[in-house]
Amino acid sequence: MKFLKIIATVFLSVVSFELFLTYSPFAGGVSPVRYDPDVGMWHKSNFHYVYSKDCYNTEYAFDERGLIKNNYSYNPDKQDVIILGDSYIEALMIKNENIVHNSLYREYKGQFNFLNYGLGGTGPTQHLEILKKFADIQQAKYLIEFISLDEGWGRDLEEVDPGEFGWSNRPLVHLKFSDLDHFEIFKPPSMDMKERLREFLAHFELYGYSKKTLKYYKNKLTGNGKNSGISKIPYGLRDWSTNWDQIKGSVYQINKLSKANHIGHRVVVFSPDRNHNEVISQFLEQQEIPFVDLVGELEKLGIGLNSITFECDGHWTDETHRLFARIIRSKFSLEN
Amino acid sequence: MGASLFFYGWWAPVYVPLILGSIIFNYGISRAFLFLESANKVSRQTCLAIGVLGNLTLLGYFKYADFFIENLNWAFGSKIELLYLILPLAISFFTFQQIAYLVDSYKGEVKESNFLNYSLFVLFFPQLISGPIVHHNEMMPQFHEPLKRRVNIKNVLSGLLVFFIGLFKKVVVADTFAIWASRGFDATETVALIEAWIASLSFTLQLYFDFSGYTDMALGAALLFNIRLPKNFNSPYKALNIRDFWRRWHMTLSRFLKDYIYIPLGGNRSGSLRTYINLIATFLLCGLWHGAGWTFIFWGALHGMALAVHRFWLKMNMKMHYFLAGALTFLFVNFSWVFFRAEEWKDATKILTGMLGFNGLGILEITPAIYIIFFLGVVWKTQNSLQWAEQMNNGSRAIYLALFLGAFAILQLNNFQISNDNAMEFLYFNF
Repeated sequence: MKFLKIIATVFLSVVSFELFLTYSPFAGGVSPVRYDPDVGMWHKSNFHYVYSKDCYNTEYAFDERGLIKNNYSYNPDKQDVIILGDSYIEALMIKNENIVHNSLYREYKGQFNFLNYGLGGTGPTQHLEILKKFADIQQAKYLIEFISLDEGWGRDLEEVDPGEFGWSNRPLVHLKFSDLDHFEIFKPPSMDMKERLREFLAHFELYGYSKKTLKYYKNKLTGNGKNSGISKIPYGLRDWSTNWDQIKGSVYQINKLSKANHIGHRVVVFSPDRNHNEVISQFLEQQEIPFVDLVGELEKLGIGLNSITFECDGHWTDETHRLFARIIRSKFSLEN
Repeated sequence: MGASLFFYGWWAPVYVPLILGSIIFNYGISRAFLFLESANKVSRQTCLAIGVLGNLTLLGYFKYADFFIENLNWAFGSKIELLYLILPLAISFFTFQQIAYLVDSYKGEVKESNFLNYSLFVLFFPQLISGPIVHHNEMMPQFHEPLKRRVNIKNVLSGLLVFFIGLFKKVVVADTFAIWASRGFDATETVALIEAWIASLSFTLQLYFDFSGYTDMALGAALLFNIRLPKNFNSPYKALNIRDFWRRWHMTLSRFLKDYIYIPLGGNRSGSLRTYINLIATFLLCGLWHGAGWTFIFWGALHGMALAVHRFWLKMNMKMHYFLAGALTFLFVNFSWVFFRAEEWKDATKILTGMLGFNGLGILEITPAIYIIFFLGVVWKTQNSLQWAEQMNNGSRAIYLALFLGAFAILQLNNFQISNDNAMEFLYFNF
């Protein structure tokens, strides 16, 4: 009996701790995504939560389709602008009104419905599948694709042990291109028992907490650094050829799909590495896809890269989203 | 004693010789009193003066040298370089404890002939870092008692309960409020009314749960060894006037200030005006003891003046409804903590102008507001942790409560560890 009471007390303590994490500044977040058989993961419908770190504590929300919520009313009489991108565009950490799609809506004076399909941890490979699966292509007039080539790029393409994935990350769809027109789709692993269990557990703060704990002590014991889940090859020595095949192939396919549906395809490149910027720029010019180089535009404005991100993580701040919307407005005149 | 030294050295081994040197010095002075027992009063007074001066010089060098240089540079336009000394852990506490010991020795109230016993009195690890500031005669008899050397299950259980209550108060409650306090005090240029009140009340609660949490841990840890340390807190925010507050807040410091500063200055024996001056002078020193900065001195001055006003109020035989008295006392304490927390004057004025509504109303954040209301209810309306622990009286409820709080607090400690976001140090480690 005593033993049971002890177990019950510890259980009560753990449950209370879950509640404390949920309703305190220490909330690490519960999973905002669910399993998706085609992409690997997608935002939960009508979901909202708080995203907290040292330098922000922001409420975020998704609509019934799992898109980042608009702060304007969707008008079915207007055409859509589809926005694709990764966590920079998903932007869980900034105020909803400032996220790039809402900022663009203001910049373009409500001319179109700007819809944010951004999803953390993704690259062009997954964007293509997101576009095919979730977007209402018939209603769209334009498509703005954000390509981030920062130090974390290509992570979505790596064979990462699923055990390393946190609450917002899951194995994703991969495409293998033999040339720009031909590719093979590698769907994410199916939802087995383990994944189902993870789907359930990821509703709780304690899931992320436990993952972090295990990873922390494992790293301590093995002496690995923080980024053990990412490639261990130093950034400067990595062979990017596979990544380029997939990025170029995906952008090409997105452009092809856009043209077939009379959608104007625009690309926004964010590449602090100017060599990578050169490669993607040349490719986009060859394909005659209009694009804007955000880092180049920042240089012209005399704005350093350090000033556009949060101190506690590398994502863009509210002001940066508004600035980028202004830059995009000045570069792309979207006609009805 | 070895364990206590290890505990102290864990933070910075380089300061172990310093604390040992201080112990040897003070022990030497106390021995000198014994040799001078039959000598004239002047020799003994000289000996005491050397002892007190030695302690104050040590404290002054490490704690106040840069403050002195800064003010010298400001006043005379000189450019003397700062020393940037790291404040040795617990220096304010072990210095005060030893000054008290010297004075008591001088008066012949205590006599310690054994160096190891004296060292244990200073170094006993639960109270070494942040008090309670103990007297020799309330500790040594306990160390000598043979029964105290046996494991006492009742005390172990009580000790664990009090320890875990303290740990919970620190890592769960105080460190949560610390985030909201820092947001207001450190993170923004201006704060609106609601944000300023959230920041100031968060700090008021943070400080209480932080320091009383530490004290609970000290008391609990000591109890594991069958040692009872003096109480340091008695629900201070329930105080109905400022004197009542100082009888409930950091009680062993108040005792020290009264016995070794206020009374030697003359206390209340030389008329009203002199009493007020003595009160203000005592609390100016209290402010300075807390930190080398004008904001601390101003905080001390505010409390000294409040005590003088309270004394005048009593003298005039004026009355106030207890609810109003309690509210006024709490508001004053909360207001004065702004100076205690602010790193610079501008931080204090920023919060105060916000609290007075000069920067607009602001937006109410629900979570901190709910926490503040809940924990104000706890500090005003519930028993404090020691009363709580006493009531449990080692029954099975005490075990389960200790287990519950311990598990919760350890989970949160781990949270700090894995987030690379170290928990805040105990605030009183800085003093």
